[in-house]
Amino acid sequence: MSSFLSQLHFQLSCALQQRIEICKLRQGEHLILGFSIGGGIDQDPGQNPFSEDKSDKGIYVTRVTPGGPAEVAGLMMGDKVMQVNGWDMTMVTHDQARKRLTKKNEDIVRLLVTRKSLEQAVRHSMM
Amino acid sequence: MMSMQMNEAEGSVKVAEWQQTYYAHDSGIQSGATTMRDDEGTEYSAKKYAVTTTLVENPTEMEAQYTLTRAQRVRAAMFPETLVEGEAVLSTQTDPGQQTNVQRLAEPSQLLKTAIVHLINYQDDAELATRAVPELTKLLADDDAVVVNKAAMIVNQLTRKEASRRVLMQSPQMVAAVVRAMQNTGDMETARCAASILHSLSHQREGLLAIFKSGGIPALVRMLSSPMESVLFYAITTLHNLLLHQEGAKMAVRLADGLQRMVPLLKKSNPKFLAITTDCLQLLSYGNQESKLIILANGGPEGLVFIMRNYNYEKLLWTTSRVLKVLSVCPSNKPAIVEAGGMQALGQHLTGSSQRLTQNCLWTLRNLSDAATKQEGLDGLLQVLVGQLGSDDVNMLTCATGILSNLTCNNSRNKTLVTQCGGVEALIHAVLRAGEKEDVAEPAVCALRHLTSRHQDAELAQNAVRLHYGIPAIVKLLGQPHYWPVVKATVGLIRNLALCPVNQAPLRDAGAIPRLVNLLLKAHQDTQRHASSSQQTYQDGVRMEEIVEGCTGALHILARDPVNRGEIASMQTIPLFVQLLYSYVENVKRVSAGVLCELALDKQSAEMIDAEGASAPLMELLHSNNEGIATYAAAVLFRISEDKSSDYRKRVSVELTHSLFKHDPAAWEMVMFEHDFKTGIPNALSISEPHTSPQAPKAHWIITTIEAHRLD
Repeated sequence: MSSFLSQLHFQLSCALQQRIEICKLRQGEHLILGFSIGGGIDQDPGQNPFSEDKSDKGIYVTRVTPGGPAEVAGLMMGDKVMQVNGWDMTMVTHDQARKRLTKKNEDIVRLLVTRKSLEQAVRHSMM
Repeated sequence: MMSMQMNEAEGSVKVAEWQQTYYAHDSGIQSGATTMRDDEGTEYSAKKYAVTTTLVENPTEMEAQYTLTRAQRVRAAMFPETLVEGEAVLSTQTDPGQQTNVQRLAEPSQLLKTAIVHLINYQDDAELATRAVPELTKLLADDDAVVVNKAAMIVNQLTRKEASRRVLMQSPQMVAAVVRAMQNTGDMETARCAASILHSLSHQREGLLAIFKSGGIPALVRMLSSPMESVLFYAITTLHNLLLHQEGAKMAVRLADGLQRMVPLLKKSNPKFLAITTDCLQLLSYGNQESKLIILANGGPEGLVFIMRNYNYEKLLWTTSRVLKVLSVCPSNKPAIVEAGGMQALGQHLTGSSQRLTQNCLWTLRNLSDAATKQEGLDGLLQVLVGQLGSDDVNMLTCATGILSNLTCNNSRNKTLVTQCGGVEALIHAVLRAGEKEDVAEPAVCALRHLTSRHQDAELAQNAVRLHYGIPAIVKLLGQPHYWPVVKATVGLIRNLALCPVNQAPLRDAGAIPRLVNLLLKAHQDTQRHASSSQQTYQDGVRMEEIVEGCTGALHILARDPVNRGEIASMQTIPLFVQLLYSYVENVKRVSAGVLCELALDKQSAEMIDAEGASAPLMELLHSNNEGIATYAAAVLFRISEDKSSDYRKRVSVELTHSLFKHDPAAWEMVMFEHDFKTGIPNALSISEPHTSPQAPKAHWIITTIEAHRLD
């Protein structure tokens, strides 16, 4: 019984996270991804409208451009960005986050995100 | 008849003189009882005696004859047609039923005036008054206004002489009748007469009692709304005498809404009148909170400040300053007085010749000063106060230092001004002269503490203290016996002085360090002793935690000097500082981390700090929300880790990285760390003093669009 529960927990933890692959779009001289971020350890977390825990200084997606690469890839407003191409994004300043997302030599950006709706769905199913 | 030989012209001159002395009486502020208006009367009497007594041989017979002839004279004056030579007519005029008397009284004024002339010249009016009182009492209640008026005039006459006045005040019915007449009449003259009567009676105890008992106070309060200046004058003076000498009068005046009627009178322009009025206000409001609030509600502060600004009459300024002093302890009145320009107005009178006025103004200013820290236009006052620091009078010094201490608290403009006009030197002299007197020493030291930090001339002030030989005297204040408020202020001042590098050696030479360390130990032991109980220890109103924080803070700044550092460390203070890292008081944590940060620059001290197990609490403090605490903790850790293995240093640096990133980019500038991301080892360059006031975290949460990105 306990092993089943721990397995279930493991699956649920995995399901809490989502992998998003964004292919940067070339528009003339610019590479665009099509979303905006807020947050960072140098920011005031109390003003983050998307976080549940108001002391959470993580990076959150605040807007997704309709039809842009990010939306196509499945990124959603309110997602919390945990990693970018293997780099940790939970303890970075706002500017560091921006830099990690806009590296010149990368065409594809792989994000690991957490989504509230996923959490809620999981919790709901556990009731 | 003797009276007929009397020179009528002389009599009318006397009447005229008597009438003119009406308004010249002193207000009688000090004591109503001492102002007698008999003088002109006795003068007349004295003259009269000289004329008559020589003609009679037997004294008792004289008395009887005199009475007869006097009565005849009265009747002669009043009822000339009924007069018969030598006839005994004593009983006639006291017959209450006789209407003819009244009719005679209402005779043309010529007759009446003659009667009055003769009245003035009577010597012993007591008997006359006794007979006349019941009659006059009735006449005062008459339906005919003219009758009432005439009766009032006669009674007024009778009050001019002591004997008849006494008779009047001994008749409660008479006094009550006067009060009623004053209240009910529509005639101005009658009101004035009646008020004058009461005024005369109010100079003696019995008169006051009689007025009080017959409901005179509410009536007099009502008279304060009269348009006639003379009525106002009589009413306020009478009320003043009652307030001074009659028990129960204060309560009665308050109940009759006296304050509400008096405050508007502050707009009048007669200085003597105002002096009496303000004295009444003082008598009513001293010790009575409700009265103070009523005065406030009726615009008292503005009226009183106006007087201070615009009048020169010393007595008036003095009485007004007394009212302001009484009001200045009331928390509701205080801001109103300040807003009305009270500080500036009172400051005008500190250099005059009247000692009592200066002292009152100083006390009042001192009471108001904590509510005036944001006031503008106080430059003149501040300069005068600095001048007064040269006084030898303890009261003056107490006030001047207290006011300066309050006005320089958190006001950089005032601080700069006081510094620039020689305030530092003057305050040092005051401290030297104060000696054991804490009432002077404490505010003086507080003022110096204010002047030596957080304004453009703070450095100037820090240097000035040293240049005027202030350092030894100030350090001495830390010695036994301890008056804790002075100690607390001195410790703060020493901390500020140490901010100036040139002061470090003089402070050391004066023995500041051992004194501070001993105080710190003593205070810390005290807090530990009471640690189990939730009570905080207060001594003389100061908590020992404040002393701990203050001493550690001062030692922190002193430790910037290398020699001082060594001395501090040599006194076995490091274990204590490490222990203070565990304090529940945020500021204590900050200053102890700060002093350890400075001490750790010496290798030996750094080893000792590590040996005391400081790493553990310091690691905790890295995560503190307080920038100063985290900064110092990081610096100490770095300095004590220099000798350690690279693994240890890497671990420390990772912790440091995370903690340091938590803070504002702006706060970053204060800590000039160079962070090498590759190796992760921070190089501490220097750390500047964090703000003493806690900073709120910058309230921003910016949004960046991940779009624009140039291709090369």
